[in-house]
Amino acid sequence: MQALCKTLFFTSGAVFLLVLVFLWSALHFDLLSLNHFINDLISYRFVGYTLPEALNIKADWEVGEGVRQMKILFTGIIGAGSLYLIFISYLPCFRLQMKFLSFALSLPLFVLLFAFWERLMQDDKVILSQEKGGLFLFTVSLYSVAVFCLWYCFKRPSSPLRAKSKTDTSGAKQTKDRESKMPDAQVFADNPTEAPEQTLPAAADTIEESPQIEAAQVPTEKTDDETFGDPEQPPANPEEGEEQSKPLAEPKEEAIEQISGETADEPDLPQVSASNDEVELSDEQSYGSEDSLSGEEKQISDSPSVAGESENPADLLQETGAKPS
Amino acid sequence: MIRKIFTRLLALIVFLLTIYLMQGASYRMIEKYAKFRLHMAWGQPESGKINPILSKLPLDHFRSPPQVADASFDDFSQEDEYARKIMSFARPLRDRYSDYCLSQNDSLSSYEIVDLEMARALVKPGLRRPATALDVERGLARRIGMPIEHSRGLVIFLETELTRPVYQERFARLENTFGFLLSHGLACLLLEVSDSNELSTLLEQLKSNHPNLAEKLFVCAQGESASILLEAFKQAPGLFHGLVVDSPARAVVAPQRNFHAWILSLCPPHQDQLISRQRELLRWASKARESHFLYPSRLGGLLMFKSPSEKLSLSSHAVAFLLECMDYFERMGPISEQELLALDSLVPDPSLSGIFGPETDPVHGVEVSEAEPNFECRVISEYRMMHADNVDIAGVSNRELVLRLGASFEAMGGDALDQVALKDPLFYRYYLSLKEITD
Repeated sequence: MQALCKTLFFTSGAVFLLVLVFLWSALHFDLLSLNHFINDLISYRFVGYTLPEALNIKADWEVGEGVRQMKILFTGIIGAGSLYLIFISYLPCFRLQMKFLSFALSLPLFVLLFAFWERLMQDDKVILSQEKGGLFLFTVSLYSVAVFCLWYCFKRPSSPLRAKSKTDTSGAKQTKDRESKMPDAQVFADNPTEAPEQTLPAAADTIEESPQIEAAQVPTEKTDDETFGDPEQPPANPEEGEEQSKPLAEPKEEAIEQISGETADEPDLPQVSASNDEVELSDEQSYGSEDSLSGEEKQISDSPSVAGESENPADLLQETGAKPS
Repeated sequence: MIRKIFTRLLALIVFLLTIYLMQGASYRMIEKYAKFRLHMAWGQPESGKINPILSKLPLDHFRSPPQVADASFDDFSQEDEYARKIMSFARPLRDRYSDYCLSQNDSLSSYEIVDLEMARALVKPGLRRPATALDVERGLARRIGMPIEHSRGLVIFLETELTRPVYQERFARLENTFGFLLSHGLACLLLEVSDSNELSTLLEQLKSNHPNLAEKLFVCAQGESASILLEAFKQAPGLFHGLVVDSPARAVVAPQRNFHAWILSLCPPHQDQLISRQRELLRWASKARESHFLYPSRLGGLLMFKSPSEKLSLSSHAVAFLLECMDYFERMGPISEQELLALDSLVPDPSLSGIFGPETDPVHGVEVSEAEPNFECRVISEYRMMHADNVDIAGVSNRELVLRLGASFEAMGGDALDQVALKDPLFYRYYLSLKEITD
């Protein structure tokens, strides 16, 4: 899109510049007569004003003088416009190009509108009702377009990252709420080293402020996914599965004890007796470093539904495939 | 941060420009708003007073009238520019008039046309009002309350030679203009005159025989008839309320004494060489503005070039001027010519020296003495009645009473003086004039 627009703007600017060259050449070698066109243009009336009157130029032009003035006017407008289009084509992104274009459109429109109305207000000319209709349409359309262009060029971009972070924040809050409802939440909160998941809500609060923190949320969720992502397919290596399940199992000792008691024949159930050291180790192993996160992992981390589910014992049961009594 | 400031600044500029544009567009397009702004700037016609806050803004209403120096072309251009700017509030009305003239056919079909003893084809606007005791006394009605026909004024178009075909052609051309003026309550008449004496006589007869139709007279004339009109006006200025003079054929010297009628002079455009009759029109306009009331001092005498693009039987400027003039005299109420002149003559102006002396009335051949104002008005009468037994007050002149009472009203603050002005405009004007003299 960027390349296409760059080409489009650059080509348009170049073509208009070429048109200018051809126009001047044609006029120089008498290949083109502008007399009729200029006459029509000069005699055209809008709200009782001819073009020279509206531009506050002497109305009693001769044809030769009119042609000269019009040539200068057209050259100025087309030349400036072409150069501006070429300049726009060198801007780095499509959005910026469009903003510059809309700004360049809105300013002349405003100037034209206000200059014309100023002339109208200062003048003493009678305006007939049919001319008033045309004037109304002219004013409303010009004003609307100019205001829209100005609004667009100063509009702040609605960043997808910001929108997502808002969603993440709400997801993290939901997690916190669920956690606070758990009977043993206070116990884990007292000793954060025993409960690495307890740091999640705190990190989620700062998601908006730092994208790195947002990324840091990923490993937990990744672990969740890897451990409980597909209940139908348990991990091929029991050790690997054991390692990955440790951080989730530890904070919910009572719950998992209850579960393990009821489903004793399940060999892949999380180990309850993991020490703090093991927890930290498993954190490092399973989370990895923040920098090593791939794009896919970030996408996974964006899913708010994953973050809190693993903390609910009932959900854990469901996800591990254990059947509650 | 800078981006935010820049964005807000730009938004503010666009907002302010939009407000300016909307205000200007409303003033240009909406008749009621244009009048409202005029009254905000100048106050009501009966108590005209420049708004001190609005006068800080560069509005058209606060343009000062040009001073005629040597009656050169520059003076003429200045007068033209001034007239267009000061009458800018009438542009929506002029638009409406132009639309009416271009769109209407058979505009007189709903109006009654009657022949009078001294003129034919007077078109009446069809207004009716209950007769007063004065109307019964004049013989216009049999009893009080009976509906009688009246008009807000009479507009007369003068022609020097009106043979039947010419009359028909002229009348047909003026039909739409008549229709527009009739819709504003003005009766219309096309009149043939040959000299100023005949015109004065005809107008006096009209006023005396048809006071309900010709109470206020507005006369328009072009060429030779314009010169006749100016001469007739010099003879009897009290007959007229408004004059529209289009390119008079002869130069008529402006009168020395003040008058209260309003005059609009129209001239052919773009004449580098001014001829004597046009120079004289400058003096007429300047003289007509010599008044101590705000409205006449701004609008009373105007002079402008005719617009070449306007193809109407009567210029839209003239129509707007006549309607504003009628509105002013209607709002001022029934104040006599003598009262107005007396008020105007109160201020001793060195440039007007000699005009207060006895002057011979060329029409009646009698010596006209300037009336000594007695400052009799409602407030003074009531005050004297309330203090009839007070010998001290009985010994104080009306002039002194006006000054004292006015000063005390002013000292009361608030809008005490304004309320008195509404109740008794004459007292208010007396007070303003006397205050100006004493100051």
